[in-house]
Amino acid sequence: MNCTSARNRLLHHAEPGPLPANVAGHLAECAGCQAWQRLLGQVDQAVATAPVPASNGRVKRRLIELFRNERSAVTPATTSVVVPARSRMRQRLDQLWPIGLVAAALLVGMIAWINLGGKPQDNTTVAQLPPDPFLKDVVAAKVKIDAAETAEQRLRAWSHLAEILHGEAKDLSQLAPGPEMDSLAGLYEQAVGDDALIAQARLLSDVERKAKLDQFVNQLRDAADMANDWAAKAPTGSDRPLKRIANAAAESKAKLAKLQQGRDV
Amino acid sequence: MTRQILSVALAGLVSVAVGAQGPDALQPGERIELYKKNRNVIERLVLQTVESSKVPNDHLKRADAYYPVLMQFSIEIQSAEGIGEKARVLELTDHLRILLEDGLAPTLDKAKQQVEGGSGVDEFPKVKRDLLAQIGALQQQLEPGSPAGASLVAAKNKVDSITLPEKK
Repeated sequence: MNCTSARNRLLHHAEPGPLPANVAGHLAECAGCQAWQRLLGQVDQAVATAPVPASNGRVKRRLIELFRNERSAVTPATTSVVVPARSRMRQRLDQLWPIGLVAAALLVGMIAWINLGGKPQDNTTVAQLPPDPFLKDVVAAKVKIDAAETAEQRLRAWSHLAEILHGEAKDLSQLAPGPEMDSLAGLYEQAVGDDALIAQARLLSDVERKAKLDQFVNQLRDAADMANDWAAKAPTGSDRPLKRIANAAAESKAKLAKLQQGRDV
Repeated sequence: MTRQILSVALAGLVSVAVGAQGPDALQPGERIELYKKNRNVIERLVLQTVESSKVPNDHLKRADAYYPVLMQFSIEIQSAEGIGEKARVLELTDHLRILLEDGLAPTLDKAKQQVEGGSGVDEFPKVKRDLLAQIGALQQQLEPGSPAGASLVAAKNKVDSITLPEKK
């Protein structure tokens, strides 16, 4: 079965239920037709959720009447079909139908946007999740740390990862007090901790420590201040993980400052 | 009549396409769901990066630290594959490809140069074999010829192309 046949069959398959074997077989192998089927599903859903305007029934009666008249006019004409000459206006209107189509599409699209856009539905949120930019950033940061050739490069890369975690914690603190925030606090503690950021700072020479650590000390000071501010305003449950982040940043800042002064930590 | 049907169908399709366009930023609910979903992978990534950072000059141990990462990705990808989340399978596989090509392969290459003629030369083949076996196991779970499976082929070949170090 080719794509055209499969799609035609899908169009005619109005009722939910198992598809004919040959259509199902084609669908299993054809990503394009799978997308087409999903689109049809979305059309069904959009039509089903479109609001029905209030009516006194007059329009409906007129429409039914029109159909009846058309049918009765067509039935005896099976023997001789007369095609009426088209008026100029009608011809022009016929040429303009694509513009009307686009206008109608935009109108329905706006209604769909208002009704569906930006409101994740409870039962479909998981299925329709977009790619995770945070995961992408963490993967990129890991590769950067692993590919770094020097302690200074690794220090910068760890600092960058700590910033990413810090930012995610800020955003999630308003939304998800609980285990997710605890998890992020734990990750931040690791990133700025003795085995990661501090370990790389220790590997720097005395000259490098004096020259390079200043910016990281400042960054950690800012990170601690910000996390403390957020904790003060955060919903209950998010304040404690944010405090952990603030403490971890402050502790690592103090260690870097000592290293900068040539002291050991 | 065909034209009218076509018009209505096209209008419907275009409207759905327009209506489906959301703002670029993630919705709050989506951010939470994404973190819940990817939490294990993210925690594993950070933990193994810390482990790797503890031994910055032991490249073989650093390469070996990728094994738990591969395992975690494998679990998540197979889980997504099992419930038909094709987009997630593709997303995770693409991240794994990056980790293999830009993280593991260069690290393993450095490890080879480091152990050549040295003490870790006997350990190298086992580390490499285990890593490749893990990638291979995942590939077998993915649909043959699928975009996710295809994206791993080149990455695995890149790791595999690193030859064994020579003994003195």
